[in-house]
Amino acid sequence: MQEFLGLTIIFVLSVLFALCMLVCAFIVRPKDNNRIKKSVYECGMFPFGTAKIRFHIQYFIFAILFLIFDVETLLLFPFAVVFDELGLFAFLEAAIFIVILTFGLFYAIRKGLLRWN
Amino acid sequence: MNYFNISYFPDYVYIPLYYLIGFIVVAVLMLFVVLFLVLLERKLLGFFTVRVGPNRVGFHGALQTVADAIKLLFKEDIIPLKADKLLFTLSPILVFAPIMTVWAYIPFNGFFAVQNSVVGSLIFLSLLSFPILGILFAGISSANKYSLLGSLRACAQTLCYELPIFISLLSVVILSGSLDLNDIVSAQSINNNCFGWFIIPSLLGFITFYISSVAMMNRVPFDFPEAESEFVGGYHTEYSGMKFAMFFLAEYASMFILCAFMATIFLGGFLSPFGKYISDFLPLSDLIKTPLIFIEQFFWLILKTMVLVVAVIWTRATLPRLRIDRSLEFFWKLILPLSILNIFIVCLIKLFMGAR
Repeated sequence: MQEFLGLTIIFVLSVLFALCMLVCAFIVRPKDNNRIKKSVYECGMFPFGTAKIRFHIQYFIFAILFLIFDVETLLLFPFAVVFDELGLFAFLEAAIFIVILTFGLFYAIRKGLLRWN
Repeated sequence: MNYFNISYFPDYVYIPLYYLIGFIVVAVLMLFVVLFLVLLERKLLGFFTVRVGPNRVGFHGALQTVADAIKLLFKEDIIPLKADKLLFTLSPILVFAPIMTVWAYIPFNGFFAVQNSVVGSLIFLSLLSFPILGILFAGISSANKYSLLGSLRACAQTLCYELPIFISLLSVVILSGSLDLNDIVSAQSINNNCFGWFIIPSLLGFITFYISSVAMMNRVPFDFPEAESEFVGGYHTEYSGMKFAMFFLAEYASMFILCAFMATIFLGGFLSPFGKYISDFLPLSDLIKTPLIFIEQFFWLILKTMVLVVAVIWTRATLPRLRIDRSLEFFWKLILPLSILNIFIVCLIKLFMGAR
């Protein structure tokens, strides 16, 4: 348990370190209230429209496939750790598992799904 | 952790104190490394493009990055009127903090890793996938079109590199039979020279890991999130002053630490390539010899890391930026199948060459 306590302590310390940097900068930096300076940067022109728009994510299929393969990788980690003790049989089982999923990947590629439209 | 466990203090004093000291060591190391890396990169890029590079501040420009840091400290902090102030301030911290935490997990020599963990390598990579949240928040909260596009591209990029990195790590785990970084390093010392390193059975894994980690560092040729010639500064277009400095710091810190991780899992970490250390040949008592060996191990790790870092910078000087859709296809149609193939190769090597 202690290693996760350590992780927590170090993470909190890093956040504090980052906050310290921001606070230091806050103390020494000049302050200026210029409305033009605070407008959105669009190469010096007056900005038109807003950036809070709806957008089409074109890599949706990638994301779904990513999810599948990510879970696959996680399932393979326990197998990898005890690979020494399991031997040939476990390797064949894992191989079937990987091959089925890889087949899925090649199916998606052949179908032309992994293409950015 | 246990090395220092002399029971002078009760646990509730000792544990926070230990981590505080370890954190300070790591923080100082990180700041020095980043200051050095920025200078190294500018000098090297200057050298590659037949320029001089920074040479005004200090001896041959040695203090250039210190001057830059001080300048950034005194810069005004501009938050756009339309921006979401909380997220805008939070996101640099969210990018920076995990990358700093990760430094605690690398075993810099046989003696010193701030945090030894049974699942060290997994925690390392999982923490390194946090910053993408910070980048996404930065892009969305800035209310700027360039930032939004940059952060969306950063997300697309995550989908590319994450899988090959984890699958390449899988091959190393198969070879070493452990997720602990210390165990991974000691598993590579079997032959007592550089032929025991995991880069040899899992060469393909090293190549895929290297390419994907270049994408993970958001560097050329995969620097879409901040492609400065396409959309100004990408996700940090609106950032200035210290917040920008934190993004900058995080980028270089992650570059170094990923190279150190690569050196640890593929290139034998802190092990000497010859198996023996110079201190082994000196007629010294163990009391002096042991610290000397630790210093040498630290030196070897830094040397291997610097080789990889220079390779990354060299890549930046050599290759132009890819197109984002080409990059997605490159990773999904080439790198991912290659890394899966690598698992099979490694499994077969492990099965039929046993002792490896």
